[in-house]
Amino acid sequence: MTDHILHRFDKDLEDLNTHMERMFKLVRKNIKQAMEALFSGDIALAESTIEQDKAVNALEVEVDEMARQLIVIHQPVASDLRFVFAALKIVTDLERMGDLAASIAQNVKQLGGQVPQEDFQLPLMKELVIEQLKAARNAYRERDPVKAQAVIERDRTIDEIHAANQRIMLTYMAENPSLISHCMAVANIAKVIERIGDHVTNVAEMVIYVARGHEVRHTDPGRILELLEGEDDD
Amino acid sequence: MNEASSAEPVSSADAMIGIDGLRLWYGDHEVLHGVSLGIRERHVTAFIGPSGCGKSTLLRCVNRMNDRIQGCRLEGSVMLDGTDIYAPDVDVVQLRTRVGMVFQKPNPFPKTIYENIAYAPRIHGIARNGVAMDELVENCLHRAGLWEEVKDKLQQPGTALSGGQQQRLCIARTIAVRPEVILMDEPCSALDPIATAKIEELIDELKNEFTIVIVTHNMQQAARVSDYTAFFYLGDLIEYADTSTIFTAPNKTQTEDYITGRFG
Repeated sequence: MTDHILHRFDKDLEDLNTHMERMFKLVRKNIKQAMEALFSGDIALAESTIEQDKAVNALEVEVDEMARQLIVIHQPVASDLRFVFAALKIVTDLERMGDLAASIAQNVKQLGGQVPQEDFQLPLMKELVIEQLKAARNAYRERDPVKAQAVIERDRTIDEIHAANQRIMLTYMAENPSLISHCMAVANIAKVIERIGDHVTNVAEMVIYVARGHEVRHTDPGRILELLEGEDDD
Repeated sequence: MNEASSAEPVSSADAMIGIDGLRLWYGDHEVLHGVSLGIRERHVTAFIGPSGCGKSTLLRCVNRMNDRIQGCRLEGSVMLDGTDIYAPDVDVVQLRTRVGMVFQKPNPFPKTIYENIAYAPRIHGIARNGVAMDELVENCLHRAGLWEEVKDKLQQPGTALSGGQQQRLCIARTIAVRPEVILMDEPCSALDPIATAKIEELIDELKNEFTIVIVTHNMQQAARVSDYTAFFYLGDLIEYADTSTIFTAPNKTQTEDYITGRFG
């Protein structure tokens, strides 16, 4: 896209974008680290994950302030407005993802270094959600609505695995009552991963809003695809 | 060259003013290259675009202000309520009572505040006796949001008022002849932010009674006051849509570049 006549406007938008990128990176790192701590029972790693969440929180506050300044100074419209608006929404989701990573780390501490005896589908869910976050970040970077739609579409897989997992765990708990408390902890973590997936989806929805101006929240992924395919790319 | 957005925001059935294939030349220079759009009754339509895009020229076509410019000729049609305003039998003076205009610089008559309002209605026989005229003057000043400020000095010259008050006086003068349409050519560009806000507030009220078309260089103003926005560039209508669409997700790259300040 062409530069603004006022260079300061471009610089301010770029600074905001840089902060967003930094936040994406940090949140992804924290989620990965929380998972590593979980599967290795590494309490120190869990603690450092919790500590790192403070940086995510600080970035959220910084992005909010930058967006506020941008609105006051430049009164953005059209794609600039959509970007600033989306940035404000996306940082909230990123911050929540950061909280959820810290929540997993907190669980690790509570388990006292004990690793899940039965991990059920946790490693698979972890892989999928980390991939999803990476894909959402790429869609964001490239302002690619089709890639964003694919992220939304794939969230179903995580939801399905999570639902199937819950059914398996119920059966498992019924058959092995001694493992109920352990299973509850694993179920809790699975739920957290599933929630992270939902936040990633929210980010992807905002990418479509930035790229095309479509409001696609609470819209079926198939319908979103139709919407994207049905318009020219002027 | 450029097609306007395919989804027209105002259907021809809804259009009070219908502009169709309008081309206009000043001498050999073609200023408008075949503009078509419909303007909706009792709504505010903003014309935006860089200097020289033809927006003010188009605005002036709606009450035939260009007739006075030598070497100006046009093709196409401008319909007002289904009547071609360029038809040979149209009385231009009468047309201008139906389509009033407010200019960039407030231009009150060098007369009293009262006379500024009363002058045209007297000529057109709208208020015949003194009482009716007093009522009309008061009513117009009320509707223009100026009554409280001037009620005790109606016999003072209109030119003694502040710029913002003068502009509201001009609006009061315009509505005194009961027009259907009010054209505004950058009505706030000479005013401070408070006077501007008062005019914008007034526009918001007047649209309940009148069809308003406003040319503005102030994008935020277009976003605030209008229901529909038309973006022009080099004599072409590039995009015409409801205002929220234009300012959140315009369809055309040129519109986007202009309103976001990427032009040039």
